[in-house]
Amino acid sequence: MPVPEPTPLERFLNGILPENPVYRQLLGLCPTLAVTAAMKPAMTMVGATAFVLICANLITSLIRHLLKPHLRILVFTLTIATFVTIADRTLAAFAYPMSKLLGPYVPLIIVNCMIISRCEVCSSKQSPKTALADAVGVSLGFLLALASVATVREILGNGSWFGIQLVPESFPTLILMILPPGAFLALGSLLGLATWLGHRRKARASEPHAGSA
Amino acid sequence: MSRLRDSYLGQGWLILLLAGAFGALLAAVHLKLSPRIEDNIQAEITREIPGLLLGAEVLEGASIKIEGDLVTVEPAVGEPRVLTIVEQPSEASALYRVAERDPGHLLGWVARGQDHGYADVIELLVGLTADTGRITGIYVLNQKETPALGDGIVRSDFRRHFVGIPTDRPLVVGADAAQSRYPIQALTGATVSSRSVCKIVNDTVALVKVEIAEEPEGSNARP
Amino acid sequence: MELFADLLLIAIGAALVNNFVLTYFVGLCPFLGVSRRLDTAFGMGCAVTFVISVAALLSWTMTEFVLRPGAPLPNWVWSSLNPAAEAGAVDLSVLSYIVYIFVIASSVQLVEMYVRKFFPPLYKSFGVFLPLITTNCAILFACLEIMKHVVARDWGLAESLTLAIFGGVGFTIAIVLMAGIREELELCEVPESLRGAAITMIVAGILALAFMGFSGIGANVEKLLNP
Repeated sequence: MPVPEPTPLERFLNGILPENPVYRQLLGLCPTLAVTAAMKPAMTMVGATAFVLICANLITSLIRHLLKPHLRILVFTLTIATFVTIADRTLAAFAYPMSKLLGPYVPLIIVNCMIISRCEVCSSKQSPKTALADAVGVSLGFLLALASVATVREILGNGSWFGIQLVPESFPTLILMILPPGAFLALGSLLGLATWLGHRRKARASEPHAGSA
Repeated sequence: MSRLRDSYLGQGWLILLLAGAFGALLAAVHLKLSPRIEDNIQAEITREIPGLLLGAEVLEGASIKIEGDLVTVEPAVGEPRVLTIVEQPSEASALYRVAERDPGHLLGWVARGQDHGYADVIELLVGLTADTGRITGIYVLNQKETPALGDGIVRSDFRRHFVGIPTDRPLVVGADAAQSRYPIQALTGATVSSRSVCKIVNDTVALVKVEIAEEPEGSNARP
Repeated sequence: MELFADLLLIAIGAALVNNFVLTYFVGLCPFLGVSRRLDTAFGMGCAVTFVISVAALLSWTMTEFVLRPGAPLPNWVWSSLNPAAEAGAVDLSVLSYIVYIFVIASSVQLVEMYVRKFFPPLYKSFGVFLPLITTNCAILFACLEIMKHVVARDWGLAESLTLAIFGGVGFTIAIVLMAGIREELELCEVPESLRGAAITMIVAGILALAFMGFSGIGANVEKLLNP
């Protein structure tokens, strides 16, 4: 039975929640923890990653018929590394303080498993349109994940959101949350919360079914 | 035909082609952006130099323009001032000679120094008067000290302690400072960071003082 | 003596104070994926330390002689092609990231072939992890740190290798500790929604908190060495 080709819309929606790169697939954890002490660096990171993901997905999809199977990883890596260099240089030229703040985490996008897995799973097999939809969907999923962690950490750790002070300066903040241990604790709790919500939804969905049986 | 397909060239032509294309793309990006990146890196230091020598008050509401080694400071009130900043050869990470362009007199020196702090390396800019007799200010370029404790060294209320202190004797901090005329108040809970900053200032000042003293008199008169 | 003190500080910094996994968050995939059992975790740690050292050696060589601004090799080639060229005008640093990732991929291949040929038992025990290491960000991170310092001209080969080896040791310490905790955790009753990655993250957070206790050790060691 041939599997029907997924439509661009399906791919797009799939990337956001059902196959969220961070919460469901546990990919791209390094930036999720490292740059989420505040919203601004987190969103810059999402922008850079999305740029690389979209460009790499489009290129691999365009050349998908020419790829030799045993050389494909080499091609993916070359493509990703090129676009990461472009993103890194652009940040250094136009947003220098942010580029300094993100430091090595911009070049580390090269080894973000999320991007290479999208090239491998989706774009090297599908048309550019589907690949583009997939890349945008996954980027939005990544945005959602980073935004959630950064929101928790910045509000608890610094009392602000996107640099805007939310609670009075004199209010005690949980400095731990903007330190490395806080990143692990925040993501761990959010992962637990996501699983719990997932379980609850599944239980609700199966309840009437179980009742009728 | 099949031999060609099996050869390395037949296998790898796509990679070679891509490498060529990406190489050209990167070269274009590099040529276009690298002057801007260089400027950014340079400006990061140059921007802070006027504040170190003229005092933080002058810079309040002022705009700073950088063109090559000329820095124009336009304060909210009063005349704009144009400074020439020239990097000097030095044993310190960097040493800048700062002069007022129009009267052409030497305003002071700014040196860059670094050493281990509590968590990682701390990098500082230290401003000195023209005769290197007093510190005119310090600025923290890079640090990774503990948030909310050691990173207080970047705050202006800590850095203000250093302004105007004579350089004839090394700075001392905290408990060792009881007999000193110019003690530096250590940050609460961050004695190590405060001590490191003082050490960097002392080392840099000592190095630069010797170097400037060795320089021929004539160079001071240069505009 | 001064070099020794510097190396000691770099080693302590990389292994304990700024542990690669627990403060820089690099190498998380194997840290979560291969930390279920103590012996495999140790194998992974050793494999990473080995590869990271080889990759650091290669990438230091590339950075020092080819990639950094004003590097000797490309400038020599350029000036012999074009005698009028300004000295030190060639800057290939834009290619660094591409070169590093290929250096890492090829050193993983190299290590795999070497270990398979000469140490078959070792290959059996950690051979399966080797291909995974290519996408381990700890290795690229080490290369990037080395690049930063080589470009600033304050590190030579000794410092670079120390950072790499002790970064690997730090990774091993973290993953072995984690595996030990996770083996105990199997006997505990963890709330259902926290099982798996979530509880591992929270444990890692507590571990990172404990490792924060090491900060400041560097400053005190320095005081001991240069009183």
